[in-house]
Amino acid sequence: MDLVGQVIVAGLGTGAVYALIAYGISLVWAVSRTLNFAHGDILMVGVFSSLIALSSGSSGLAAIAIAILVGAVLGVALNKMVFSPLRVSRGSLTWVLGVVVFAAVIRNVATLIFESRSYPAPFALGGDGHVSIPGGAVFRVSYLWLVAVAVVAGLSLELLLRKTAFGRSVRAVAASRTTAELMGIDSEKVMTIVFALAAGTGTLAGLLIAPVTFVSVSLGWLFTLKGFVAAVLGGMGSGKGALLGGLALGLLEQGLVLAELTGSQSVSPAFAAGYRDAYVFLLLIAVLLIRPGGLFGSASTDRWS
Amino acid sequence: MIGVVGPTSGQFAQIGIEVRNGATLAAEQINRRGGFRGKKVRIVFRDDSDRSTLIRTLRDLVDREKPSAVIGPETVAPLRSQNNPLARASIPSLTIGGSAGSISGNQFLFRLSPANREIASVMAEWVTRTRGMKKVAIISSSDEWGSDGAKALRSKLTSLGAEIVSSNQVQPDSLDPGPLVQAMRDTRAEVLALWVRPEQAARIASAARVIGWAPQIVGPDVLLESKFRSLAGPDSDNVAFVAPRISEDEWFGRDLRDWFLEYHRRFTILPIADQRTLVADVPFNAVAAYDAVNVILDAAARSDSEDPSRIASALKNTKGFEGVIRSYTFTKSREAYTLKDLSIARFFNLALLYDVGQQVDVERQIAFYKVQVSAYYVPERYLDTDAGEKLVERVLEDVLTNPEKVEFFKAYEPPRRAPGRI
Repeated sequence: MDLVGQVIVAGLGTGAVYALIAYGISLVWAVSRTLNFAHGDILMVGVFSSLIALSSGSSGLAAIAIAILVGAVLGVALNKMVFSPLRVSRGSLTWVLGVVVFAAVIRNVATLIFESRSYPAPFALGGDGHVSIPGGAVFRVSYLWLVAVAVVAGLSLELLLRKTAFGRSVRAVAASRTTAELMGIDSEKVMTIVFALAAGTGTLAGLLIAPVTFVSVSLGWLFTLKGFVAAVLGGMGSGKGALLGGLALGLLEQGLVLAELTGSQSVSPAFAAGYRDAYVFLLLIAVLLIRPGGLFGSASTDRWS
Repeated sequence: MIGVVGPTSGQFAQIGIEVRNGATLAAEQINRRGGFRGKKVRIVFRDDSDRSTLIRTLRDLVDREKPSAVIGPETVAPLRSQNNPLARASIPSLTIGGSAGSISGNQFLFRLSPANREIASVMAEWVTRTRGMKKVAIISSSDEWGSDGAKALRSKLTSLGAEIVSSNQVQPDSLDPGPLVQAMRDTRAEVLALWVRPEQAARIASAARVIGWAPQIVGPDVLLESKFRSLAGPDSDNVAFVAPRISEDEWFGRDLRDWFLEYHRRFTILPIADQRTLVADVPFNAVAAYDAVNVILDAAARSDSEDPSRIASALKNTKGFEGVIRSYTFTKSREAYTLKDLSIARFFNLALLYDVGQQVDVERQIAFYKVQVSAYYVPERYLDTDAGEKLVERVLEDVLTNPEKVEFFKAYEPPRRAPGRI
């Protein structure tokens, strides 16, 4: 029972991170119909900037603020330098090349500066202690914070997009950019803010998990991959789908750990850790075969749901 | 011409960069003394960070440069058969870090670092006989290296009467090993044996501490890479690991001291990163690569040839070659390390202590500890040469005039005394 509790908490913790990353990817997709392959690399730079801020004497909160700001600025830069100029027509795919180059430049410059090693991240939310729950499960207290911050951030973003004038503008651009512009909405401004929001949210997610994973340049690509899986699982263009897709992915990954730990590996080597990603992708394919739009998305309509 | 193949980016970058630096230093020193038989020794480096292109990289090296021997790569899997570019050209290769599996299938492949089987034997012997512990949980990485090591460890532990209470794999990029560590704790294991890369080992050591579990953690030689201590920090205390058995004379001898000075002058030795410590990031792989160059040239001199196949034959007969850090003899299966060349050491305050395995003079071990925690480049108490004194002056001047370092030294607190043996 204690192991099950531990697995659920760890699944929700990592799932919360995936959810925030997926939310940004999904939001960008909704308003621009582009896939941000640089999402993980941007958040990686944001997290590194927090380490620099901390080593320069900044407080933890200031470092977090700086990281989110750096992430948001890079998100805006990506939109201004790549997506806006290269997405000249709905069918054009030149932006794909542009974003891949943008991501490669970020990664290579980061490697030049930070090299290929990992760095410890000292700003664990809620400290470095642990919590015991009835049943015997013990987990990092930072996981509680991680889930709490992700829930607050997710709800705040949903409220922002559903209850404010800006949110209506975003949803209008997501439904039809041309129509939104005819209605007097500055779609370019909306896109800029959305890219900043998405990158800032992603950076926040990276900051939350960094004390557990450590910080390295290679983390960027890993988070991009996990974020895309969660976003597609939940349904591209769906905020609720991204959040639930992220949580589902985190729980699934840890559930496979449980399957391995409870002896399934001795029954069949197919439960070994090396196959874990294969099961995740198999599930993704299965979901898409049944629901092409993902669990909560729509395969046909162009709108933020 | 000697080829050097290693990764300069990715998770194995530290190995590749150190190997390149060590080989370069050796060549520069030899060339300053007039070279090998009057000819300059040339080092040609090839980056193999992308393992999927390793065979192409080796083919290119052979075709363009025609090396007499190659140091590297740090993985032996593509070289096991005779059907690889180096073996087909009869070029001997000396791997540093490629510890997984047997190398018996390729007569041109030599291993200059310990093999998994030997490392596993030393770990198992120490756990069961020296520590008298019987309940062992194993976590290994899901790649070939981890699977091979864990298999060897399970086999040896079982033969010594230990009970394997759990043996599980973890993916190298797994974000949180927390549930896995909790499961290990629930087995009431006395020992947590790791066969994972340094980053994952640091995550596991941290996860064990967070849940309040304090087993004896023991791991393979890769934990010597400074990134384990850099990431684990105090969680590395008392983690035991397999290390090359280095005699007192070698550790405190002039050769190693001078070598450190020379390496520091050329490439700079820094303290272990991201921790408030003066313990140096000792480039063990660089020492091995430095020795590898000299082992190759010794074989070339004995064979009186620069022909690769004749050097390979001579390498097989290498016996008692005195390197900087140890004496090299290749076994019949072309291994430079046997069981008697390995020992168990532990970390404390990020320093390296040989007081849990190899029997060493206590006073010298204390001196060794003090040297490590009080000087960040070379053992300063042994710096009695002119070059050493000049280096001290230079470093001190830098320390005293660089504002960042002044702050560091103001805040630096001497570490705790080294405790008794575990």
